Amino acid sequence: MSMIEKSYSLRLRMLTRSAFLLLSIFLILSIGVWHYAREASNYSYDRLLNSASLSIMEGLHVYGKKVDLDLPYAAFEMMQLAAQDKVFYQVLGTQGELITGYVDMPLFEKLKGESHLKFYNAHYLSEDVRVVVRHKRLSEPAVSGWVTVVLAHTLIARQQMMNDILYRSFAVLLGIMVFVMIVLWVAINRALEPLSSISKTLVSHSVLSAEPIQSTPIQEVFPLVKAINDYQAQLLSNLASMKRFIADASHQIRTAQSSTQAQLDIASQSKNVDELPEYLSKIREEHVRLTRLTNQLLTHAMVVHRGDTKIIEEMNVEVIMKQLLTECVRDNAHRMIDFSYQCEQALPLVMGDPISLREAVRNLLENAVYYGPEQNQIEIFLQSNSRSLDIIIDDAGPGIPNELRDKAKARFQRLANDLNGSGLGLSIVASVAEAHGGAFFLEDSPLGGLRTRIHLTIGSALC
Amino acid sequence: MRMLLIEDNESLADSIRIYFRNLGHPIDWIDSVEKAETSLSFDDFDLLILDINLPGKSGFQLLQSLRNQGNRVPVLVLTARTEVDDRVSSLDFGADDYLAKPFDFRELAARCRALYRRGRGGASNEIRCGNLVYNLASHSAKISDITLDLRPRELQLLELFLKNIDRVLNKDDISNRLYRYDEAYTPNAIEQTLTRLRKQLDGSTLIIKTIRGLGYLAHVDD
Repeated sequence: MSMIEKSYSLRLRMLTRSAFLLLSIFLILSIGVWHYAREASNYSYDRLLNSASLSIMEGLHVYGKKVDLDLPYAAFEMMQLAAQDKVFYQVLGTQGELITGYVDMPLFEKLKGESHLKFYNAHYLSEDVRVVVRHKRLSEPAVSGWVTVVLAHTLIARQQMMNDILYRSFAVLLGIMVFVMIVLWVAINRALEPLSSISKTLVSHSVLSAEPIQSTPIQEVFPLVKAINDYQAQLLSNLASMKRFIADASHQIRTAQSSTQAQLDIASQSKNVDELPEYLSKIREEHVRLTRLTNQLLTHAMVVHRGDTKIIEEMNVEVIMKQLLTECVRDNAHRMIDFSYQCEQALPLVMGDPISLREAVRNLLENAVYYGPEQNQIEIFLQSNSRSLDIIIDDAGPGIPNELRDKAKARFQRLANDLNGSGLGLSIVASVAEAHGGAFFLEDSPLGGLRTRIHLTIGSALC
Repeated sequence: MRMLLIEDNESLADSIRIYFRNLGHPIDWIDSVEKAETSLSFDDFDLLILDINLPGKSGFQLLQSLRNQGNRVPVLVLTARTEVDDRVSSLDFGADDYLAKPFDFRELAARCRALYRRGRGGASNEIRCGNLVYNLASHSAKISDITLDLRPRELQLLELFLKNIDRVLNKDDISNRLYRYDEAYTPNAIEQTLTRLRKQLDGSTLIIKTIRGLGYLAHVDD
């Protein structure tokens, strides 16, 4: 088993995860907004810059052989929209000579081909500026060639506009996020509500009451409630069968005990010493029966417990069978019983619980001896193919009539009252076979008695 | 045979003592492992009857320390637990036999006798099985003091069985012990020897059972 994970709040986890997701979305959107704000402010102020440079270009005149500039103030008026911004300009003649303006304006590399206009960012006089370069071809008879107007504008106004757009957008985005988080909080609480209501119901609900938990109209929660109710029903049914078992067992034990008690009482009342041996032998008989019953009950409990806990190991069925048969022969050497052992081929190793299997087969051998005639014949026969293994025990006893065979395998079903059977032996065998994923059969023996067959499947045992 | 009973239940211990004294066996009783260790250090016993569930040290611990010291005294374990695991582990710890409570006193006595026989096989020239006495030195067998007329092969077979009481011997085991390499034998010959031996043993407490498909098992029913 892996270690149990540290406890955590589902609500908190869902909230932090959605907050994290929202934050990522916010970051991506912010980059977009920032980009848009920059583009927008550039676009509007570039248009101003463009018009200003155009009007400067309009102010260029040719006087004789010289190009001269009549600087239109309207151009600078346009640039005055932002009070703190500075404007720099430079006008170059056809030979590239300075006509007017700042000498060392950063000139973009020569404009190529047909383009007349170029915007770019630059650094000038320790300030970031946006520059526009504009070309115009003069074709007067005296002067012909390209003249250039360079106009630069500091970025304060642009920055302000950009920040303005950014702050507004951020405010809206944040508002949406907070709103979404609130909606999520409410939704998560609402979604988790059935969970806490079910646990509240469970706390006040007794497991042993036959009353199931009230069903819910919520489709998603319905399977949980159903699972809890099914579990409870299973528990109750197990409990009921356990109660039946205890009732049956105590009935059997008390019956044996009270007849022993009765014989003891009669014996102690009896004044005739000659009668004592008879009472004693009856007491002994009852006691033997009680001992056998106790042993069977404990074996039954052990087998069921081991079946439930699924104890498995590799077992060599041949070795187990030989040991059991040897014990059985040793204990019954004084009887006229013919034993035989037959195993046709080497048996594969089977996965299972050797202790339970041993108890099961021991029960079958004991039964064969106990219920059989004095001149009995008991044969163990092991048979296997690639998928299954059969442990067959034949006897020459009276057998069990066909119609009583199912009854014989049930718990506390004694077929004959006068015998010392506990009614548990065959049910122990059936439990063991079942725990091994196999089956237990009662059949006709070729020897004329009963054939008991434990059928084990190889490979799928106890899975 | 001198026995030591280590059992904490006084009424059960009393009953066992009475039963064995009636049979004529001296038996001492002690109720804890600690006292048993002292007794065992200065007294010799032929057999221990050891309860597992004891106050203080458990019977397993005594068994283990005895075997670690190299003490080979036969030990019969009494256990009230029904799990076969317990019985198996007591055998693993070096017990010679086990008996689950409640038990039949006759069975307890029979098991004790069987253990005693097994333990004395090497020490004495005589093997006693109920009314059958086999002398290892003179190779002769008697039932109730009447010497049996047995052929050499039958005597060898009898000796083999007496040394392997309650164990299964198959035909190969028997032929390996009874015949030399250069002697030809048939499984049938073993069968015939056995049949004659059985006839001779009629009336004794030694039973030789045939388990078809597995071999032969000798058991003393006394």
